[in-house]
Amino acid sequence: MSDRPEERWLDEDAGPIVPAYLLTRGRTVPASEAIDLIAVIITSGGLTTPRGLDPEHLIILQKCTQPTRLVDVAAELNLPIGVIRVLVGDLHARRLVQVEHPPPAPDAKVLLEVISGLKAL
Amino acid sequence: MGRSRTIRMKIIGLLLVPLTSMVVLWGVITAVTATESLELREYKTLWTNLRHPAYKLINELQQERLVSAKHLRHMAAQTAVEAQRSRTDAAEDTFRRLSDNSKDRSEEIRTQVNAVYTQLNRLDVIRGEIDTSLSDRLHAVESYDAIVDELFGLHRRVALIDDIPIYEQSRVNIDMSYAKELLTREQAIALGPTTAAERRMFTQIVGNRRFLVDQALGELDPPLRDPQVALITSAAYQRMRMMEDQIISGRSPRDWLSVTEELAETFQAAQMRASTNLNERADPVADQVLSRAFMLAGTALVLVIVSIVFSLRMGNRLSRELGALRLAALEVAQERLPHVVGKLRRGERVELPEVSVASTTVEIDDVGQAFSTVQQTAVEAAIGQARLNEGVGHVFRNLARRSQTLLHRQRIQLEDMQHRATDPDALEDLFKLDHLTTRMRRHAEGLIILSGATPGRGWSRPVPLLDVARGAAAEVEDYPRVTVEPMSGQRLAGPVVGDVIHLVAELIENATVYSPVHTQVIVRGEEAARGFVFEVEDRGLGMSAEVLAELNERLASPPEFDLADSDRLGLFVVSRLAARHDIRVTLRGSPYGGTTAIVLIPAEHVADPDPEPHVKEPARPMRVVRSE
Repeated sequence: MSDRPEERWLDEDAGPIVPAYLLTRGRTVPASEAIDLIAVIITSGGLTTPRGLDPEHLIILQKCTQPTRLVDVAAELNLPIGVIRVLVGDLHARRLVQVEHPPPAPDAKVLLEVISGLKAL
Repeated sequence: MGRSRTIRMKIIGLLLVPLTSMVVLWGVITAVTATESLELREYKTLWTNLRHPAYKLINELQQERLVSAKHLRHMAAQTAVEAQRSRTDAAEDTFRRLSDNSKDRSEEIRTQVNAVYTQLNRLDVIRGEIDTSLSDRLHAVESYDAIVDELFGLHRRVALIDDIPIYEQSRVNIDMSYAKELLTREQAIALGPTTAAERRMFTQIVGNRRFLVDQALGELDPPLRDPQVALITSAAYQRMRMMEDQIISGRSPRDWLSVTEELAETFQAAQMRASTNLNERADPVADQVLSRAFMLAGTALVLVIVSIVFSLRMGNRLSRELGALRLAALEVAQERLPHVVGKLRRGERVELPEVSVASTTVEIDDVGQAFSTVQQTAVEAAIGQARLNEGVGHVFRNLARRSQTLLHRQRIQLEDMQHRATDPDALEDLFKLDHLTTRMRRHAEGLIILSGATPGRGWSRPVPLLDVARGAAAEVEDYPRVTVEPMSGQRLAGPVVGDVIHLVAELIENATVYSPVHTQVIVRGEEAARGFVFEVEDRGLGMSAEVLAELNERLASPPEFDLADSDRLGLFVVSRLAARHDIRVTLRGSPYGGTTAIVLIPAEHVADPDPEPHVKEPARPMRVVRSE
């Protein structure tokens, strides 16, 4: 065996103390509807902190007092995007956050028209 | 003999028999020699009480016989007869009185004394016959002869002594006295003219007397013989012999009475002197025997005392040595060996003390040596066992560390994949894999803890206790059933984080295993005066008070790890981790019917909440750092 037995891992190298699967209790599908990567999350007011929330939920609530995109929240918390979706889904289900879905992407016909218009300039 | 006794008692028992025998033997020897001496003394007593009065009585009877014979020949008045009879009675009384004192000495003496009494009782009849002239002269004389013969029989039976020369001389002396008796008989018969019958009797007596004297003289020893020889060679004696011959031939010499009376007195005096002489001779012999008895008894006593003292000293020394050996052996068995083995188990160095018993006995020395060897062997076995344990532990640790390393890498890989996963289903599979890996890592860490080492994961900064609890819950198979309730923001000191996670994970695992699958396991955390408390509560069936007490006892004092008791592995890991960090773990019944495990983490491991409410997780990816 090539592995050296006396390896030690300190702090970050030791890995997260709380693994991602525990934060969602193993769930991967959000409680509310699917949330897009670039959906904007906004904490929906309310001065009192609701009970029964994990620290990660609270961080999201705090972070999203300013409208923030889901992908940025994930980067902030350094958690898989799937986990953030479930957590935000939890908050959304309890109506603690609002999710602003991005406008649907313009279809190809409009884009082609824009391209040809630009070329015509 | 089921009872066991001390060696001291046994030694005393062993010595008791020969020592008792010796004392008894000593007593017998002393008694025998003392008896011998006393018997010699008795010779003198018998002389005083029996023989001397008997001689006196014989003398008086001889006189009475003579006076009676004279009276029958009308040579003496009735008053002279009466006077002599009263003297005889006095002598008889004296004899009866004194003999009464000694006649019960032996059966033989009593018979003989009684026979004498019987003869003496005839005295009145004899006297009556004489007074009424019913008996002739010869018959009267012969009547007295029977009494005297019986008295001489007494002499012969009583003159017994353990000293043979004295005994022989006594017998000869009695014979000489009897010779004198025969002389007085002759005297009484031949007072005047004799009948044919009287002469025949006289002749017979003379023959007997001469024979007796001749024989006796040859046997007497010089001090006793010389006076007798002088008597026999005297002119009076020679004249008496001539007179005897004349009487035999039918004449009656004129001076017969006077000559024989003189001779009889001389004879009597000589006998008494001889008897006194013999008595004096018996005394020194008795003294000699007595002193010999004393010497013998004294020597034997000294020997007995010396052997008792010697035996007791030897016995004492032996029992003291055995006692010392016993103490040394007990000390080895009860104190030294357990102590040494305990030290070895803790991995400390040991020095082997010798079992030394100061003894002069080869066997006791040998047993002491043997104990030393036993101790040596036992300690070597314990050292071997300790090395083996250490070796096994080393193998465990090595394998567990390799597994841990691989699992850690696997987790990094999974973490990475989780970040990249966009599909919920794929993420779910990754979660399952991650959970399995975490559990495998926990088991590897358990092995490392059992082998006495610390798992390789460590934290330098304090970690919120909530995260510790959640981390612990994540390591459990049935983690969705575990509810970690919100808790205050206290943090746990970095160095103990790994061990506390492991400890709490074991307790949560137990709680989930021993409660129904549809129930929740609640983990609470609260600040306490002495630190921080975790409560792991299940809704199971709980445990009996005895089982709880037993488990608490085991948790409080971690037992030696027993390879055979693998069912309680989790409990053992908990108690070992708790002992390592001074954490107190208590189990008790829960109000919901299940069991609550209470973990008290001492204040020294607990830090205040982070002033910044949120700690950013590291942005950089994990990597494996090698210790060297």
